[in-house]
Amino acid sequence: MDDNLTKAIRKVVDGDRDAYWYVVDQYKLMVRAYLGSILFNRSDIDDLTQEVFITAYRKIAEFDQEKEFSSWIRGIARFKLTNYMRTYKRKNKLQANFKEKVVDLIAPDLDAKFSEETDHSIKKLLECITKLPKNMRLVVKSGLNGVKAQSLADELDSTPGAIYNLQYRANGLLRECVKREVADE
Amino acid sequence: MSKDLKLLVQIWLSEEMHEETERLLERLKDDEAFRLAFVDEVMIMGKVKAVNLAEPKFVLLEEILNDQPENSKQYEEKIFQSLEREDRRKKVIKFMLALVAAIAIIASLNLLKEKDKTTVVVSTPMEIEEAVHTIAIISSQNNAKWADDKFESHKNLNKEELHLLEGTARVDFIFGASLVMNAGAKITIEDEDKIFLHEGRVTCEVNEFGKGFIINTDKSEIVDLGTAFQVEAGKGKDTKIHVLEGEVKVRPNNAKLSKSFYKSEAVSVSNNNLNEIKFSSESLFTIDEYEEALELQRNEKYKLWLENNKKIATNSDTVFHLVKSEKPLNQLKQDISGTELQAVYTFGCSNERGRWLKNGALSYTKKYDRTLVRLKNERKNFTLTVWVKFDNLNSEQNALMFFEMPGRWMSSIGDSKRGKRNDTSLGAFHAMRWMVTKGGRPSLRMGYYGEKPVAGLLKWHTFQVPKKIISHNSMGNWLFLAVTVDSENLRVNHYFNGRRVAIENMDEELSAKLEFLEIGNLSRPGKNEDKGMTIRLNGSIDELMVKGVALTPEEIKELYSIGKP
Repeated sequence: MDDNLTKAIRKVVDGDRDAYWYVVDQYKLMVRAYLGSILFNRSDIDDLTQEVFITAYRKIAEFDQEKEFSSWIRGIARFKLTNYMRTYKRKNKLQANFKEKVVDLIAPDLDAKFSEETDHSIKKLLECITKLPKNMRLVVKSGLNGVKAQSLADELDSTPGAIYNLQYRANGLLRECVKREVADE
Repeated sequence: MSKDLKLLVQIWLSEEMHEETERLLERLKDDEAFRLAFVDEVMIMGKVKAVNLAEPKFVLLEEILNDQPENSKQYEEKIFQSLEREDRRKKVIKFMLALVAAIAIIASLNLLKEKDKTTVVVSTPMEIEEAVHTIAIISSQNNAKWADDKFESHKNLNKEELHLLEGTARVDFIFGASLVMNAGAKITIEDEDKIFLHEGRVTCEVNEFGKGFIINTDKSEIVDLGTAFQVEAGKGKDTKIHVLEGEVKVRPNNAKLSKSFYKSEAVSVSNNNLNEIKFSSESLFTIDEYEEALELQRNEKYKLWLENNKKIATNSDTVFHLVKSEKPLNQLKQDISGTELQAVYTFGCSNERGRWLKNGALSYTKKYDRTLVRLKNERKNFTLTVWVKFDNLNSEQNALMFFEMPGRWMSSIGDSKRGKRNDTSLGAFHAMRWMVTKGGRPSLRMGYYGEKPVAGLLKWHTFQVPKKIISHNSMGNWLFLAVTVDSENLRVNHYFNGRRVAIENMDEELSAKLEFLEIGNLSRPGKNEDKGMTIRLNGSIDELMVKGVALTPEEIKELYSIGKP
């Protein structure tokens, strides 16, 4: 954990609330990306991100500073996600069961991969998105879910299946691009 | 793998079930490479969302991290946000009417009681919901003991039941009616202009604003038309009414028509009949007479309290005792006794009326208001007590007393040239902070310098009351809080209004430097990029004490009993 973060956490524990914005700035991208991996709806992602930071603020005195802050805050995010899934389940049981099972299966690997992630490489994605072919860029920027895939298919005179295929190919191109961009530096 | 992966991504994104779903879930479970590839897919999509979507504004987090609204504009905004949650229009009208009536009542009471006082700052309780929902208040009580002891400090009333076991108490209704309840009286407030008297005796006085106030009993309905009268009721007993002034209309429950009664008339009511009875002045009293009796009682208690303060002042265990008088703030030192006072300094602050009619209080309304006290002390056993009136508990932590190190008084890191550098060696005392959380839980935190993970990092010992003891209903009322630290027995006790509310165990013996005491806001002004910090106290303090011993529960109870007006 870097010194500035340690100092900021110390200040927050000591009652300096403003210092907490430094903590938020350091981790908001990662927390949003983590939650965005599972959730589609933008307001859900933002609301849950905010809840994660509020909980972290309230519990920050309990944080063991010998451990990694990023995994601690992802733990809170995971907890919030689980609670959210329970609420979601009441509305859409079948789909929620599937999502819940998937999240249970992939959570440890997702967490491990995010622990290697840096803000820098996430930010590189912006440049890479601009380099995608137009159709793929449109699909990626749409942030697909069922409804959006259908309307995008209508707009592009295509089928939802083809749209999902574009998303899949775009994902591969983006991964390659980020890898290359980071390696070139 | 590519085909299955594409399909799983499609199911994931489409939110539609597929006949292959179960098989893909099985593969996700058993095939690590497949699982990792899928993780890559969801992860890249999550990252895209994070960078692609506009950055959110964390409004709630901002609210939590920022202090309460400071100016009236923000205050009004908060009022209307609160009102919007319910029927806005109805609530606005109700709130404005209630506010006007409350201001009129408070102003008239102050005029009556404070004719000879010219400069009194009245702090206004800021809790919005409370302002909207309060329909009556317990304005005074004389040796009152309630079936529900919350009414000792919970004075803002809504539709609820009150049962007075001992003493007398006065209840004022927002639209202009006042009741004095006698010992044994049990009432239910049914509305802002209606009560049900289950049993016991109440005296009611209704002024111009409160005409039409109704008292129901199991035998009758009594409508007050601007008067004073006494009602006595009980289960199975006839209701008796004595009219002291003006006119009341009385209707037996089974009758359709009511009958008027006037000054010096009395009536007994069964379900069906009204029977005039002899007006007996024995055991009757007006509200003015109640107030006179209360004033006498208060004066006696006030004298007792002053006597006790003299004893505290000469007690060798008293490290510091502030009893705010009506003297100006520049004479604050004269209000302080104790063995170890070296200096006192007030920054900001204003004088307010204290919990007694004749004493004053330090009011901390602005962010920077604070009082600095220099003592000379280090203790393992000690007691902190305070009489405090919170206007609100809007901040995450709400300040009571802070014992900081000298460096904090100059800057966050100290000033070695002026001999104020903090001792940051391992185990050195950093600070002790006595606060109340937003959730109404008193908390004592003692900080010491540790060594891990980086040198100088603080280790805090927190002793917090596990449940809420100060509710919004206590805002604007004088409360007695105390905490005792008994390092010999490794115990920290918290007290509220004389009662012990928490016993916390200490892991180790802790010593606190009671040298640099800050009362009120703990604030550090910012410099350049540093925005500074503040732990707020929104309220007033009229008595505060530091004892060099851990007082017993009996001693705390006695302090409260003597100090309670």
